[in-house]
Amino acid sequence: MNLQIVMEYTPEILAGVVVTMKLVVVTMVLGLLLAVPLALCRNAKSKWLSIPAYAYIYFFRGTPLLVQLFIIYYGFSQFESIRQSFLWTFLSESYWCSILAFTLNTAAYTAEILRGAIKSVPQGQIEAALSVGMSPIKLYTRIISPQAALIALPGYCNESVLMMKGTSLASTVALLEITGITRNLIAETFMPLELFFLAGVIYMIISTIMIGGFKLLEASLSRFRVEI
Amino acid sequence: MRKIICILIVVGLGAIFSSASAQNVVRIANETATPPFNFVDGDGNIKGFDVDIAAALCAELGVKKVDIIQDWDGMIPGLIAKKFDAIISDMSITDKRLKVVNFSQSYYDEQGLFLTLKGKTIDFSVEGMKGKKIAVQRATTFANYIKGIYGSSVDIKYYETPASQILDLFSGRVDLILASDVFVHKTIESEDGAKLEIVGSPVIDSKYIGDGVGIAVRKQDTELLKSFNKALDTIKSNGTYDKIYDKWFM
Repeated sequence: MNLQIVMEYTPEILAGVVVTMKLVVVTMVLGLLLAVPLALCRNAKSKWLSIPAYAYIYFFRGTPLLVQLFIIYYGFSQFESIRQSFLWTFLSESYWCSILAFTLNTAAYTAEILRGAIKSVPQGQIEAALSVGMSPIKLYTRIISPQAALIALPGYCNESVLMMKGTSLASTVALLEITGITRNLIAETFMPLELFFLAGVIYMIISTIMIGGFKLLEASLSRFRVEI
Repeated sequence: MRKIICILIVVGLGAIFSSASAQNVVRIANETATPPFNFVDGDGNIKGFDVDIAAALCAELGVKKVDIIQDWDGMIPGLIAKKFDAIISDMSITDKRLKVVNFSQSYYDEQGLFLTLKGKTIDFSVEGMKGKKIAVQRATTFANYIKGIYGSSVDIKYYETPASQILDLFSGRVDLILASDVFVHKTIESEDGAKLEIVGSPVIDSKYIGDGVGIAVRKQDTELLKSFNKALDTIKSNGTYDKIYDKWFM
């Protein structure tokens, strides 16, 4: 193990941290925005809503993230019609292809987490809320969401960390994030042990920060909770 | 029942370890992604110029050849980590690689060629290349060439295999590809090749491209290196090399 190499190349790999963090933040925001309606559709009584949502989740949970990324990056670019459309402004970029794949993937998992959390709110509370004349929107914002959010949080934290590590796949579509830069440096130095170790430590630091953030959020959300 | 399983496991492990340490076996890595040097045919067989050269050398040395398929950017790390004993995979002899591994004499001279979509005019001066997107395969001599000549004025995109570079040239994500002459010619002759065009002059700068293609072995395996060099002399003089060369490049 050559620690000199680790010190020397840390700044170069840190440039990739910016790209990785951008991927993570944008994916988490977009993924959550997509997951909420998906979860609601999945729980809906109407088959027209629940079956498409289930099909979506079924597809994205059942296929590897790498395959999804390749379909979006290499697959879509085969179609002349896509290359001529406004979509190509985004799809021609490795960065946006990665964002799209990660978002669609994480939304499927997050929707399942949210669905379970919504289901776990006791039926009695919902009936009570309806019986005092709450509208469905009020029922969701005042009774279901605050409790479901807390239940979903640990699972969502897990999914976010998994997704953060999944961003390393973006290196296969010519994006220079942490893993991509690390692999380029290995090509120059032939030192896989040191450099992959360094990359691993950086990923671990990011995930530690994320887990810490979720812990704080959980504490803040549960501050009104009365222990029974 | 449990006893039988235990015995089976012990025997199985024994078989795995003994076969790995058996003598007179040379494990040779190739990438199987750079036709016609090395590739996998429709039936799943590893084929190509490199593979035939490796077979001829091993026959000459009287050793058993075991093919190992290895991704390009893990080639030299894999060799050092003793996952295999030699790399015969269109690998150019460069000063940087010579610092960590040894090379046999050259068995092929390679050049780089620029490939683009037909109808595009490219100005190869540093000024003219500004902002151009250039595809190279990660960890190749061509990647070093582009970095050395154009530096940060161009947008270098790194790919896993030569084939994915071609996909992104067709889609328009990159303006240019720099790849080995044989691969470029092979691509032009393929079905979609009519849309492509070779531009600029061949890249032969030995500072970046190295001095031909050689067989890489670990620094400490001097005996193996000597045998490979001797075997290369033999097949070059007895006509075997020419036969293999004609088969793949003529």
